[in-house]
Amino acid sequence: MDIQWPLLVFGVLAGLSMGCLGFVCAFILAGKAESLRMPGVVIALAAIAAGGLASAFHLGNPDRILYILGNLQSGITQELLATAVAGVLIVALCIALVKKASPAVLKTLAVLGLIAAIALPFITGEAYVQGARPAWNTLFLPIMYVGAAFAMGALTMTVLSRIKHVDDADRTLIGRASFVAAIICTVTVVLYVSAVALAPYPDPSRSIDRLLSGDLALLFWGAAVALGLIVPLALTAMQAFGKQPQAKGGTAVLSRPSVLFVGLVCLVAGSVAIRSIMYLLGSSVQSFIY
Amino acid sequence: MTTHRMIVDLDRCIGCHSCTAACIQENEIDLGRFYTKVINVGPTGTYPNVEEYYLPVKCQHCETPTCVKVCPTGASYRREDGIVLVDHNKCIGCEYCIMACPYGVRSRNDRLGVIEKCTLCAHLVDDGKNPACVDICPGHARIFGDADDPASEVAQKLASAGDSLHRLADVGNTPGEAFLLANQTWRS
Repeated sequence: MDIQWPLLVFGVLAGLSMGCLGFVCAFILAGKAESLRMPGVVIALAAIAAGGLASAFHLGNPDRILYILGNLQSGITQELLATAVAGVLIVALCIALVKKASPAVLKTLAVLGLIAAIALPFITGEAYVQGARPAWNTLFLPIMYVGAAFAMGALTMTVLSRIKHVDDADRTLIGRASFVAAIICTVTVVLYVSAVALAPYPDPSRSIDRLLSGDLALLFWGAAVALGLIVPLALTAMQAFGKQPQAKGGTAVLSRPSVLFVGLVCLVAGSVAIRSIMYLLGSSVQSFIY
Repeated sequence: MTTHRMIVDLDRCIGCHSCTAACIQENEIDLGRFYTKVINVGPTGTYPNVEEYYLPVKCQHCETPTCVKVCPTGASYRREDGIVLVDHNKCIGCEYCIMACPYGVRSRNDRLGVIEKCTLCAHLVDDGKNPACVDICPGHARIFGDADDPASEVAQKLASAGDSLHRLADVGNTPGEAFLLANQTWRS
């Protein structure tokens, strides 16, 4: 299957949005990083709005978009509903933060937001899980979507923590969370690629050899692994265990916001790459006409 | 109760592609798209034991069609007589059914922004006629009728086929159509 760019952009931006939402909600529940909450929510809102808009470009008849609510069994219907719920929660959280709502209201929204932050990327990935496409027919696919969302949200918060100059305790905590998220993201990618290798109905079009040494090797090793996993792992490891940003020389440069932002771009590029690979391996069990 | 079914006798198919041409003409399909195609399976084996057969493929009008299950608008639906169709007035062209189909037999009509596939010529069937590909087939390889009517040719072929009856891969969709192949090894 060709890369479905509008869907890919939606998946990545929805993941970024839910990652940011999840961390903001976690901050609220833990009483941490107050200065990062509003910027985090704004990024979440912008990302989900842009992603939703991108997905409309996939449709042949976007004017009929509300027809999507016609079948609750459909993954697309579930995606639309989950996106709408997440969007409403982000807006509600935004208003609650601006209006300085009571802790009870904030915590209630934070719990719901955390659920949405996990549910939407999972539902987005789960929509692809179907018997017709062996390289997609694994639960490790939606789990990989959740892992990517977690890592993108964590690294975004790390960048923000450097820009907003949060206190050392919060910065260290966010740095460590970011490192854990990068590890989880890596594990989920490895699990998904392993599932592709073991998928039934083997066929050259979805062979693991295409990734490891074939026509997709550069995309896999260069973009998905080197840019998307190794760079974020190295940078977040520095945040978790390296020198404080105010330290001079050596590896402290790796804690600059600009460097961390480049790391975030690498992570997003890696996420785009592994999803591109997912589409390119997504041949059907027997593709006769197309 | 009527269940419209088609079976293709591959031992009788000569690979002439008349079915493809008749389908394009009857359904006014745009250049470059197909509802049905004929695939060469083989040649396999080593001379003089070589085999090759022709496999006409199209929508299998599944018993539990995944295209219907995933369609977010209900545009893809299965009629009571077993024919799976797409309601153009409801289709948003999201291509989710294309992803869900195990056989790669659906395509998007970019002019209308909707998904299309074999309709089993439902407009003809509703008039008591055969699908265009059935009537055009010079080898009488395509057999169509009511599988619930024991007197129909399709029902009798299904009942008597035994080991020569084959279906495409089933990933939970239960393909409704079938193939007969007795003279060669099924490799599809």
